Amino acid sequence: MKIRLILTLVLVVAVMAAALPTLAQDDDLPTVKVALILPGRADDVSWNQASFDGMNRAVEALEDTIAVELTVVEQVYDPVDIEPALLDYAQQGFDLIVGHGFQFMEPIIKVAEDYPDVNFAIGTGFKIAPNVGVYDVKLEQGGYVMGLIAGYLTEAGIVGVVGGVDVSEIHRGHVAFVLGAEAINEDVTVLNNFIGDFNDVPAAKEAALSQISAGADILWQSGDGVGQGVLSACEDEDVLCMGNTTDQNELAPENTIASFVYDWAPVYVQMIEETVEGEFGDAFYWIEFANEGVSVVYNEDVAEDLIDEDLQAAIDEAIEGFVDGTLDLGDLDAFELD
Amino acid sequence: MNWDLVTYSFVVGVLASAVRWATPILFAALGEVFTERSGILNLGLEGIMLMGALSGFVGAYNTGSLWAGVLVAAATGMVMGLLMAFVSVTAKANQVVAGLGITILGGGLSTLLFRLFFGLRSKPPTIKTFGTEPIPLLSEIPVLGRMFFSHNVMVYLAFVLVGVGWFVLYRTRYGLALRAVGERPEAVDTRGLNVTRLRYSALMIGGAMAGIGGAYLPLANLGLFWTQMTAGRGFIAVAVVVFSRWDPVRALVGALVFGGAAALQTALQTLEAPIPSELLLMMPYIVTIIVLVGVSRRAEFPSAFAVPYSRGEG
Repeated sequence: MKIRLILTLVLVVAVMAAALPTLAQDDDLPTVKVALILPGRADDVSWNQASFDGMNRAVEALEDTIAVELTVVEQVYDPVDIEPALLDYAQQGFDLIVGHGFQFMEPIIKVAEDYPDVNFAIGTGFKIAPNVGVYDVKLEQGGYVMGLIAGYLTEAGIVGVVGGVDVSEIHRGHVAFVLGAEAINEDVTVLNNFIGDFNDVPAAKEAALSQISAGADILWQSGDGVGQGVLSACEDEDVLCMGNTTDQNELAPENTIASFVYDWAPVYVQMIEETVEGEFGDAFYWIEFANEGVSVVYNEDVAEDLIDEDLQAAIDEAIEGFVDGTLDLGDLDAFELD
Repeated sequence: MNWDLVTYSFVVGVLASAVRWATPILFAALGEVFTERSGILNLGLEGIMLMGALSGFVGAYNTGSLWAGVLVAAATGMVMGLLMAFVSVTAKANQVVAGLGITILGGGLSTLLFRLFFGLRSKPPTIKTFGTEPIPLLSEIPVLGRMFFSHNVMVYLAFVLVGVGWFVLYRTRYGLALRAVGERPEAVDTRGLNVTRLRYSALMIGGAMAGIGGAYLPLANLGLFWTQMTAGRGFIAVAVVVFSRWDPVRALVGALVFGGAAALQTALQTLEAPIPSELLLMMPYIVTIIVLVGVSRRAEFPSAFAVPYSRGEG
């Protein structure tokens, strides 16, 4: 694992040099040292890119109030690599260490106990502590809207969704996709596949092809390398698909109807501010339609022919319902997916 | 279980998927048959496949030729094989440790090189892959036609190499020497053949084949490179080689057994089988273990397997 760590560090330097403008240091501003640990590449057009872009936007937004010294490390994917990375940053005097993924939860809870003066943030999870906060996406809101689109537009009455692992926000997203599709089309069949590995793009493509050969004519996916495989299958078989995490409309421009896009900047800004004020931790921070942390971005070329007034009305109604709290999907964790 | 979805075309789709699953593993396993026959265990296949995927993609992206990508991947795999040969044959390092080192190196280096070649970009580089080319007449056979004869050209190449591998191993002087060097290197040595050179060549063949197997994923399947995209296929290839008892034809069977299990579990998830996805995802690996346990009683490893050769210490 040493070699990987060294390579990762080399990468960090390269990325920092390439991507980050030199931060102007204003002596009057409070300074916060933030480490963002990504499980994948910062340009994966998905989970990690959404975080990387969001963090950079947050740093920019805070420019006049807080001087953020940001360090980004990529490719800390294996659970065995996570704890050493956390310890490294905790010992180097970082104020806020962000682990962008569910797999960071257990290691962070463990390390955070020994470093009470360091704040830790976990990207999706369910455990918090006095110096640990969880930030998460209401993927169920996106899943529901994507379900509405799929359920409405399917001609075969069969739609599908492919995801990495059946946990946390991915589980909620998939369940809500089923609920959304069924809400608009009560006869719809929703197929569900999980890959078990976020990097196994070929396996995800096979899962999507399996759903397509079972008759599915619109697919959604819950991101990562998995999403790339699904979009590739849809392009090959000329089937409609939808994106997740970032604007993926460009990846399969003739097949993608829309993408559910995350903007982590609002929660990153809040977490950094609370770190300065000493109020961080013991809390959950959500991006959702209500704080504009998530949005639906349409691929106009494909969407304008497909999304009619009825469907648009249903989508708008759902989003408004999420914003004002009148649309409640209930306890999605209790819902089992086969 | 949603039986309504089980149509002829779905079932044939599962079988075709099994072949697509098997192909990259088969390339790597065929090469590893040669390597292990010469008495070397190369656990670096996973890393070599990743380097093959990266270099094949870069080669095809820059030249615009997919076949150039295949060649670059084979050459890169060969260099990785050479590295393994230096460490395990010349330096006589522990082969398990050396192989795992190669795997870790390949994973990290492929990621690093990808960033160096393409930089940090918002839209990933892509290439157009080898398209599906059904073989006339054969592809019209019911079931088997779509299972074996309606694929891209790299799938056919893998099948052809099974035959080539069998021929080289059992019908050429080189194959005979290779088999002998894995059993009795000292006997090969006294016959005036160069043990070191034979083992180097076997590792280079193994590396080239693993490189091509890795390159299958970006060049024939996806059109993009993804970090760790081989996701364990290199290790499955090592298991397939033991299953095959170091025979190219049985390696084809082994790769298809694993591919079949992987395609089947995917289909069962699609059909909403009342089994948790976590259990289904384990299925191909459980099948692999069960098959290996069943086979390994009959498996006779080459006598000099994983033993470095030193003249006069026999």
